[in-house]
Amino acid sequence: MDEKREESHRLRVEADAISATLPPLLVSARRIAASVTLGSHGRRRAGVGDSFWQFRPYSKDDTPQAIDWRQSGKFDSVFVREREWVAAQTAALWCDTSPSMRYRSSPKLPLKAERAAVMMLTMAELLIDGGERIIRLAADGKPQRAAAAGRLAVAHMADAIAGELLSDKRGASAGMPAFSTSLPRHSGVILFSDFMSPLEEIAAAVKGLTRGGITGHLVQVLDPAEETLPFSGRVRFVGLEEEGATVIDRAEDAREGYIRKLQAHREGLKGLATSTGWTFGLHHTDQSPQPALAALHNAITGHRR
Amino acid sequence: MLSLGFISFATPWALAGLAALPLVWLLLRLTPPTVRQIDFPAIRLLFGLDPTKRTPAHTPPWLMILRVAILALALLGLADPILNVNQTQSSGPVVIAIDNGWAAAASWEDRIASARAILEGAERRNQPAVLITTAPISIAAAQAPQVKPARDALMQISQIVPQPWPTDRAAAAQTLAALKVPAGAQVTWISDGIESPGTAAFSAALAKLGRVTVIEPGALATPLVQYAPERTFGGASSGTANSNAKASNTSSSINGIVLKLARPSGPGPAAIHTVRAIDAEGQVLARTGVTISAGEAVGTTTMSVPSELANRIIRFDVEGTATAATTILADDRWQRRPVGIASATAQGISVPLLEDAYYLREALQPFAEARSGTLNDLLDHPLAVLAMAGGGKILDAELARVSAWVDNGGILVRFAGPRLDGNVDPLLPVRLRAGGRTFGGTMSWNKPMALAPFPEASPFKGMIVPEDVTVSSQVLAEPSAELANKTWARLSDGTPLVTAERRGRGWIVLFHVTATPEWSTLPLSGLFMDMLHRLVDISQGVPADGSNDATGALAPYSILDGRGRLSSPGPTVQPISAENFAEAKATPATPPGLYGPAGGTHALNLSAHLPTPEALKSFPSGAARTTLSGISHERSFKPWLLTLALVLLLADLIISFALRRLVPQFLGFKDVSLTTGAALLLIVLAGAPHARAAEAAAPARGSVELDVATRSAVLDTRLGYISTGATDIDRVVASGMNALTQHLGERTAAELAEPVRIDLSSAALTSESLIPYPLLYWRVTSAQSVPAPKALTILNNYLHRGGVIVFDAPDQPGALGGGGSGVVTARLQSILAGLDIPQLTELPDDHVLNRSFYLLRNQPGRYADGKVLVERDVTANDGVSSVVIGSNDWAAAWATDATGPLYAVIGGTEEQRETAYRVGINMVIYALTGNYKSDQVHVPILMQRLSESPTKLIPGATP
Repeated sequence: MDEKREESHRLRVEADAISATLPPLLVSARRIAASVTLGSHGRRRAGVGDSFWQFRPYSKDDTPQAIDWRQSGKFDSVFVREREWVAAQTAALWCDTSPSMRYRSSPKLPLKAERAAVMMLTMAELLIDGGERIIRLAADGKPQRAAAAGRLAVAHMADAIAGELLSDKRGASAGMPAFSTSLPRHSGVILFSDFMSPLEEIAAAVKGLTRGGITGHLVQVLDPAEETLPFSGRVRFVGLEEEGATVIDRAEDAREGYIRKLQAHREGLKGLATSTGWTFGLHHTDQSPQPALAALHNAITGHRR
Repeated sequence: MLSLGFISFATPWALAGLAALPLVWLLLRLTPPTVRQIDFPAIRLLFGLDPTKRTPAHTPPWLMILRVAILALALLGLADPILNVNQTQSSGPVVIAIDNGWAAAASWEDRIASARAILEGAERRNQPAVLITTAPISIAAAQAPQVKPARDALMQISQIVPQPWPTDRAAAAQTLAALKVPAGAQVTWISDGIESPGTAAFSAALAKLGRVTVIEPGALATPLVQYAPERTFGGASSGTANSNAKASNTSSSINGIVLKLARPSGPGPAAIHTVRAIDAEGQVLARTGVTISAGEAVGTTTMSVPSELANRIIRFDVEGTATAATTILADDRWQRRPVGIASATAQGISVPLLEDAYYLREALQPFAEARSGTLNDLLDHPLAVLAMAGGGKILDAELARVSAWVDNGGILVRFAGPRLDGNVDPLLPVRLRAGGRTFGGTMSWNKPMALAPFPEASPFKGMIVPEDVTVSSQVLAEPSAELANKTWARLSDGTPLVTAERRGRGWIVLFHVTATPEWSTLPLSGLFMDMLHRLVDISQGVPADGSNDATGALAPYSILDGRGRLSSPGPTVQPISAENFAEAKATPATPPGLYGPAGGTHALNLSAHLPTPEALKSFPSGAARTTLSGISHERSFKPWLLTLALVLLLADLIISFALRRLVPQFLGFKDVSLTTGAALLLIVLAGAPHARAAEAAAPARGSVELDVATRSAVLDTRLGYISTGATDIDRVVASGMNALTQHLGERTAAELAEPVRIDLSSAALTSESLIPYPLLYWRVTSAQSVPAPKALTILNNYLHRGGVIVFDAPDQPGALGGGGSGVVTARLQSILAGLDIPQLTELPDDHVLNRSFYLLRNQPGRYADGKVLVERDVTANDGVSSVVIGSNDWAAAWATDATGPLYAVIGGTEEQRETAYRVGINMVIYALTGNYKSDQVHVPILMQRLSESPTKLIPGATP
């Protein structure tokens, strides 16, 4: 398990470094109607909480215990002391660790899955800093443990993702999993993947989540080689998820068609995102993760309105 | 075996494989290039992509050519091609006769290589072989040659060594006759090219066996013989390296060693061989080239060696030819010079300062082994010089004995005295007049006489006569026609002071004054000691006490092998009886070397009893003749071809890797062509390492019009030296300058580049080409020609622009480049006449040249007695004298080779050489830094002021 611990530690250190450069995140509560649990930051409205929000005249619905006698003593009418409603949002995070993510075109680049894991942990750090609760969705799409807050949650998440990265289950969990629908309502979902599965599979997964009242974000993590197909000559391409192989005599001639198909696929993803109210982000492993994370941060906090 | 012209194939069936080459070509052509496999996650997007055009997938043609070439090379290599295969094939045995006497040592490796090549061919063909050596071998190792497989003969051949004695072909012929060899043998005689007794019989025996090929040494490996050198003086030999020396040879050298080299008679080209004289420490004391002119068999040269060095010689050899015949050992008789001082006064009564023998003993003791006694006692032991002090007559009883001793090579030195009145006995060099001659006495008008410079023919020539040596009384010789020839020293009025006469192989020398200061101040002066020293030097060495008249056997002390190396004697070496030593010849039982006890060794030199070498003339009938260098050996290409195929295969591997992108990225090979280029470059580099060097050596062309030498001089500070016109001296100077540059780099911050030779007669010489050199060293020799007017202008320009020229014109007797004759000084003067040189002065003690790096008192080189001149009033050039003129032969003191210094310093120790380096370093630093250190001159005054000031500052302080 030492290996796993080291991997987990490495991922966390990396994630910490990235998250330090982004502002602490407060998830916008705008789109969340209700809450099931108490949280740590105010909702700018009266509710269950510790801090004072407002005094309002007593109505018949209020229990007598709610009356603030000191305030009422100053005036003729009776006042009720309201506290600010405090609630935390739950964010579910999923990172694709399927074999297709275990790819890099050059030893200088990180694996796609590694980068995705780092970005996920960064987001987790930011969310925890912002007082949110996080749930990690395992490779099969089920929540791994109950929603949790605090640093320990990030540590657990890092351990789990490291274990998943190290376990060599080639082709075992190809494609998009069936995501659990038992997530808390109004929680957010962030999916890190290359989204190279057929568009229909992805649409089914996203729509399944949307039906549960969940909105989310798609972050596509791609290797630069997947963007440009920089190969030439006679090449036999082999899929990583047992999709099969194809021999292309002149890879340079196939480049144009490939890029066109990649663009079409991505347009499909974007269309899917907009039609369901989700957002779509793109990240390449040869770039720094900060821009993509900043964009994601903005999308979550709603600054992009 | 298949033969195509000069190439043959040992296993020709392998060539059949070449027929498959077109098939391989076809196959390679049809095989598409290997597919690279790439894992790719986005493979779904690639499905169904149909590239617009399909190009035929073929291996590139150059790669196909490479692969077919690899196959062809491997097949050719397996076919085992052999160059120069011996066409005269026969199944009979191979007979190789090798001369391994002294004459074969010169080119021994080539001989063994030839024999080895022949035996390897025989092994290839499974022929039996016989190896026969012609030199007799030590008794124990004798074993009759027999026919055996070539493999065994090959093993045997590495054990054969050249022997330090002549061949015995008569015996070898008998061995051949006894040998059972099947008919049709293939006979090769690797001869040493020397005719010897029994050669005809040997040739006949060889011819009987089969077809004979004779391999002669050829011009490059001609055997040489060096005969024992003789020490000469004044026209006759006065000493030999050993008693077996040949007849004397005339020479005009003052103190020389006559070297004699011989080669087989016959039309040969002119050749120069360098003979080296080596002392006990292995230091080369002198080297001289001996020229054997074209068509001649014998070459003779006189090696001029200062006598104090000559006595240290233990060995003469020929540079580059280490054989027993070219190595002459000088035994103890060469060096030991006991002197007897016969005194009339009885033993035991010693009166210092008044006794005759006292001054002789004091003068001789520093350099000779001197004994006192009566004539008879002294002659009981071997003597080189016998000095008779106190005048007096040699008694008739002793006369015969002394006379015989002189005839045998002794030098009898007699002194005048009151008792030598007239011709008392026959052992006087000149007839004397009765009665002496007195100057400067109370009753005389004359003043005491000084000495005149020594005559040309005198052994004392070159000695400086002190002015304070005066003679007040002497005996006079009767005038005769021969008197002038017999005079070795005279007074300023011409009367003889020292006369000498040759008697047999010895000399009789008479000082016309006493050995005491009674008649002259000569015995008080250093000149007296120098004169006696010179007399001892020209005397003949004698063996140590006892061994000369020993009747016992002389045990071997140190033995010379065939390569001229000394080693301790083996058990088979036998002693030689002392009486027969002169007749002893070099044989397996008594090889050349030193015999006798330590300190009294006798040298047995191979050449002493060798007849004049004669070129081989009795060839076997119908023999083919060739030379060592002309022989073409069989040479197999198999390893080369297979290696080349393997290298190409490796290159193909690299290229294949590159084509499949398997070459690691860090190598930086971004595309295939680059990688291919790198692989091919690798092959080219492996195959032709010299090509790169040649490229680097090619002169780069710059836009500036400077020749290469000038440019390199500008880029790196370096010293220059003027070509002397004599190649050997140039070599010495070059070596000296290199050594000086090295010492400069080690001891000072002046790290200069390699010195450059400047040829004043070169047409390319311009004013600019000298400017970069801070200092030019000019070793003036008698062969030096006065530079042309153009060169003189250039030199003047150089001096005016701040250059420094160090002239070194040693004119000491025996100096390199014709010293001792005054020619060198004259040559220097004529060179200086053309140069613009201001007034000169003798180097003052406080001159900057003595302070620039080391503090020096004198400026010795190889000699220590020369004066150094510098400019008197220097105003220009930062106070640096533009010329430094000396005569100490600095370059010879600096010069070194791999084994150490080239020349021994004269009259001093190695300390003198160290001082010489310091002088050179001071000169260069002086030239580089100018008057920077002239402050040193004021140091004493500054120090004095410093020591004065405290007394001024603190009143009342005690001084």
